[in-house]
Amino acid sequence: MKSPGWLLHRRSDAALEVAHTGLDMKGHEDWLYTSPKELLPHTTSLDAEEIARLVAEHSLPDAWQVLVFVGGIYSAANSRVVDDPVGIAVCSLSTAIDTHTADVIAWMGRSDSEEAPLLSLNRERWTDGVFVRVAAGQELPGFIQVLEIGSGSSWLRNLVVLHEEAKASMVETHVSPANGTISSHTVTEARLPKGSKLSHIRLKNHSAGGHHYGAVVAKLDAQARLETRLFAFGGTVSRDDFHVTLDGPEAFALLHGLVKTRGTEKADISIKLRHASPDCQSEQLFKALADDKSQANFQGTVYVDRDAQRTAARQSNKNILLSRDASVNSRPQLEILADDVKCSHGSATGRLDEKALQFLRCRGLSQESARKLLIRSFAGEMLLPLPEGALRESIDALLGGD
Amino acid sequence: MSGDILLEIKGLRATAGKTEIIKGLDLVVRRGETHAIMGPNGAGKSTLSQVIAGHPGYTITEGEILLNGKNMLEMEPEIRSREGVFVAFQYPVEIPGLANNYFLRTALNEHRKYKGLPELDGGAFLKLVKEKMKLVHMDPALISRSLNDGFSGGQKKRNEVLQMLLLEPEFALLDETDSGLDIDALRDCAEGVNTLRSPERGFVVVTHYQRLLDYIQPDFVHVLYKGRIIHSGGKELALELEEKGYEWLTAGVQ
Repeated sequence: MKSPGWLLHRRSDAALEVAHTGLDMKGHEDWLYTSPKELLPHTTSLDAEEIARLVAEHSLPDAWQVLVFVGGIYSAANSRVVDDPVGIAVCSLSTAIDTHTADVIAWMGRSDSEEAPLLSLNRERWTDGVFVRVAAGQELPGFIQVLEIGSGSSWLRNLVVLHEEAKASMVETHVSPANGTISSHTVTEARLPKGSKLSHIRLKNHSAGGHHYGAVVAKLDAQARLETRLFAFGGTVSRDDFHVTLDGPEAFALLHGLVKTRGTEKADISIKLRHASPDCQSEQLFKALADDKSQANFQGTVYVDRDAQRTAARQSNKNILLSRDASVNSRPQLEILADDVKCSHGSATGRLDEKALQFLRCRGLSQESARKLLIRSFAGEMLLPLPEGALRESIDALLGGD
Repeated sequence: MSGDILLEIKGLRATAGKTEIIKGLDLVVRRGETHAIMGPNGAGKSTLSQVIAGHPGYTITEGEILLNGKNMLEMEPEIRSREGVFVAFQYPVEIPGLANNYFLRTALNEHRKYKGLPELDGGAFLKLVKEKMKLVHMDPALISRSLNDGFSGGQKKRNEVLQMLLLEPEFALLDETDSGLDIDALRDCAEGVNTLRSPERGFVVVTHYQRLLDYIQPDFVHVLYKGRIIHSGGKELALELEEKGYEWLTAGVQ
């Protein structure tokens, strides 16, 4: 793709950052359980037939628009788009460089943390992504789906630019082919000014050869609201970073995550949530189900700045080990500098409740179906807020299937 | 008046860890009969219930339990249930996140599949469950709540009886269903049980108190003590026990 001069500058700046920090993060406390290099494997590409099959299988019929990216490149042929209503723009980021240059210059990479090498690498290498812009007080008529078909190595950057009191809702679906190795790096960044609201869902539905790095980067102004929900299934290595800053009074952020690992899969979630302004609220709930010899990791830090009085922050991490060989690491952390705050965090890891299993069997359920019911019960509160429809059904199916 | 033998316990001995709790218990329940088992604390009443349900925490060292002549001890708990055994538990488990109606429908459909009947769809199930809930005066809102999660004692026990009404067992054992119940809940639960009583079914009611037996009138009353049945009689025995306690029977029993 063509890159204007300013963009080339940004790419080379990012490349310098990567060169400076390097990708060997051994011993760095943000990278205790995965290394950036694990997320950069040698990859294989897909043929057209398999792409078409994956698109058909994973497009959501109830989405307002579906934008498909294959191997990091926008695929118009596979997408389902409509003409934008006045005040709303939904297009690929490569198009937005020409059509919404000022917005892209102003906001692309603006909130990236400097100490996150894979964010920098993404800023250097991104090839495409979705661009969403909603004018003040407007709302998208429905949710948009970003469907990424993993092929080779892909670098996506999604940029959501909302104006004051605007509302948007988006679903990302990331899938990989049944065979072969792919890597996908997706950064979704959002500009959320006063009173705006973004609802964001990321579903990772990878097969064995998937390597996925995902990040959500957002800065919230006064009374802005972010809800981001992660559902992560499959892949050799899966890592998700959340960099969220509550930067204006009375902003609210909800971060939910549900992870299921099996085989020798490894999933890693890392959260940096900063309360930089008073009277904000944040709510984090992350759950993992680890089966076989897999590993599910969680590191979450809530920072409360000195001025962020009357902060209310809750963080909870709950995990279930489904086999004796599975493992879980959980590191919830609070760093509080303000003195008038309500913050709580907790972490619990256990096994499926034997008493409950036994009870269900006494009512005629097989061991297998009792297990599935308890797994669904554990995950239930993460699914409940989702609207009924194809997405919820597919997540439900991913939970039930073994 | 009594029918064929439904459940037969012969010379049963059961241990929890190294402690023997059931020490040679015999009991025959015929179709159409209701038996009450009473006895002081620690007699083995709850262990008997758990053994019949198939709890893995107990080891059977001797004896057998036959259900319609088949060796029930060889059956997994879910097979016992599908074969028509129901145990209403003294302490029903709470399962947060599991919707009561989803659980009930899954259980009922597992039973129907086992019997070669078609599964009930959501609508047909809802109609059936609402009908049964009325019988035990259960708040319809509880159907969409998490299973027993935050239910009162009375609501939990009504929910146990509701499960029994849906699964329509041939043999049911109620383990201290009356414990912790106010008089309304007690009556509702008892009425639920009474609607199921028929010449085809058999019941065992395990209880501390005569009170429940005013509502569920037994044909036989047994006294369980130190893991054995030491005395049996008709329903008048329950009144006698209420009046005199157990000591006149337990004195001298080794």
